[in-house]
Amino acid sequence: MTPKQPKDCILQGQELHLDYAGKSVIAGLNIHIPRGRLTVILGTNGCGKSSLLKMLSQVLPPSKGRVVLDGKTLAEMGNKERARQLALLVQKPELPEGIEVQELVSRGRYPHQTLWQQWSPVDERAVANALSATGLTGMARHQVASLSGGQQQRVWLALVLAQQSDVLLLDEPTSFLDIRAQLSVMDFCKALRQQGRTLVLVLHDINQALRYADHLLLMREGRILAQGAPEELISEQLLRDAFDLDARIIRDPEAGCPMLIPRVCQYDHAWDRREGPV
Amino acid sequence: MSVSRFPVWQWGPLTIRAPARGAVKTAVFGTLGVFLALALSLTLGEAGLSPDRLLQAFRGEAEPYEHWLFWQSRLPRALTALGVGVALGVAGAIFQSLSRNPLGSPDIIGINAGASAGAVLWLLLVPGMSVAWGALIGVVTVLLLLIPGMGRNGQLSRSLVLMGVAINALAIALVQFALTLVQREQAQQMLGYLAGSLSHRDWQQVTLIATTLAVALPWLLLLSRRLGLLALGRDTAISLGVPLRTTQLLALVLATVLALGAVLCAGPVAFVALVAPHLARWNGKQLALLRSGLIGALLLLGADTLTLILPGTQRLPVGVLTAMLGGAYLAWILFAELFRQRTPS
Repeated sequence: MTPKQPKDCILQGQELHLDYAGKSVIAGLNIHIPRGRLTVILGTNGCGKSSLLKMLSQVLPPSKGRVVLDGKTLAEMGNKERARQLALLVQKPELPEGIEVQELVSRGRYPHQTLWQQWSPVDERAVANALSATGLTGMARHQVASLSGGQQQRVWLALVLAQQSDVLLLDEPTSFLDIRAQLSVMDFCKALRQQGRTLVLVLHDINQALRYADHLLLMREGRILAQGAPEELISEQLLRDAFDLDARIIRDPEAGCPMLIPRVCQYDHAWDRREGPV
Repeated sequence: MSVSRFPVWQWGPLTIRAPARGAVKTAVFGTLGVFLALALSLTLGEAGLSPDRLLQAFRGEAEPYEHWLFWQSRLPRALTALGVGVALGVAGAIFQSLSRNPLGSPDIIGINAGASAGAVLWLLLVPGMSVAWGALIGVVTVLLLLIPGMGRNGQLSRSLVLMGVAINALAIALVQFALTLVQREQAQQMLGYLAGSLSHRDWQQVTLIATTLAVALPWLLLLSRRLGLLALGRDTAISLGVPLRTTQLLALVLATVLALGAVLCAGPVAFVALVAPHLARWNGKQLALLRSGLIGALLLLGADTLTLILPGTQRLPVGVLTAMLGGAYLAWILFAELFRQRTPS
């Protein structure tokens, strides 16, 4: 299938290759991220979603190919210049011992600071805004480690917000959260998109992707299988191709968008038969 | 709304964040502590000067012997202890943050062992000249072995401690080998060096350690913000715009320079670099380079003062004392940790 390319792209990966430990993880991938939209990348574990996000943010420089951000090649931009325009929230950031919410969120200001401008009123305001947008103002002095999983994820989102970049790449921002916390993260992302920011999320919950995404990308084994608006893109065949999943697609009674219901498992040991249903 | 925790200070083009209350407290208590430790170190011990004689010597009104004792023996010794302590405390904090390992310190990473091996081999091969050259060569060799550990992706933390253990083993084997080859007097001299000592220090050592600190500390303070970002993990640090490899390389080299300065002034003093960062973090706060340096200084000067007042004809080298105290402290932490895990919560 030849994927339809979105017209106005803020971020593009051109002919991306990634070799990891002598093995080719991604070979010749082209990706286009539409400006001001919420894009969700879906795919099985190990299909290269996280690697792709890291390549798009230069955290893992591609072995071949280039990433273009708003007309500029990412590899040729300065580190801080890049970080001012593009933020990445990794799947498992490391939490330094004993750090307070406000201290952690202020570190997001690093790309805006120089030797002379170590801390300015602008930084101060950006941190305060990030804290209030994530509802953390009252917890600014709390130890991050003492917060719940959902609150900690809000702290990491606040760190990325303080960075004030136009493009945000979020790697599984809802994993390990309870359903209420997952939905508030998704609603928060939607609100950011309505402010005109570009978001790229890696998700595992296909129904959440269908409900929140403007643009959907399905990956399989380091390739892009299909991309487009969820409504037009999703089909039972595509789910079979992308996930080896036998599912029905029905209409979400609440939001009116497509949603999937996995069929009752007809095959005995799924672990022995990754190839697909009988 | 504004968050008043970190008010902004401005001087012309320079704007910085006002230090938090904790930092001010550290500075005040640290300065007081250093003065107290200095006073104790100069007045205690059998050759100690009583406070009034101390003042006389300071004003240059004392008898010639006491004048010499103050200016040429006790004061340089105490200042060397302070400087070496700062260097070890800061170097330990950097190595721990680079290796993300509470055991990362010049003792464990092989820098002290490299200096020892270099010095001992130098004594063996070039008996006439100062062992400092040997120690220098040893430390530079260790640094050159550690740098490739950064790899292409800057995975320094994983390799640093493992590589250090290997280097340590090699260096200690070299030291043992050299010790079997030499005469008894020479072995005595080598063992004296290997323990790490602060006796017979003069202004040469003070100048050396002061220069080392003056060169390395400003750079490290500038780097400390980036080191704080590295603590969020490699990927987050890069995505925030930290040049990973440059930062790691600079921090590694500067911490090694500090450890080298310490080793050249006092020999391989054990455990101060390991324990100081732990004590600096005792209240669960962030890694603070200067606080760790301050605690290192107090530890080493305190330990040295202790060697002066302990009874016995033969003075204990300060390195032996820090190793004993540090070992006991580490064992205590581990036991406390184990005990805490045993008790059902």
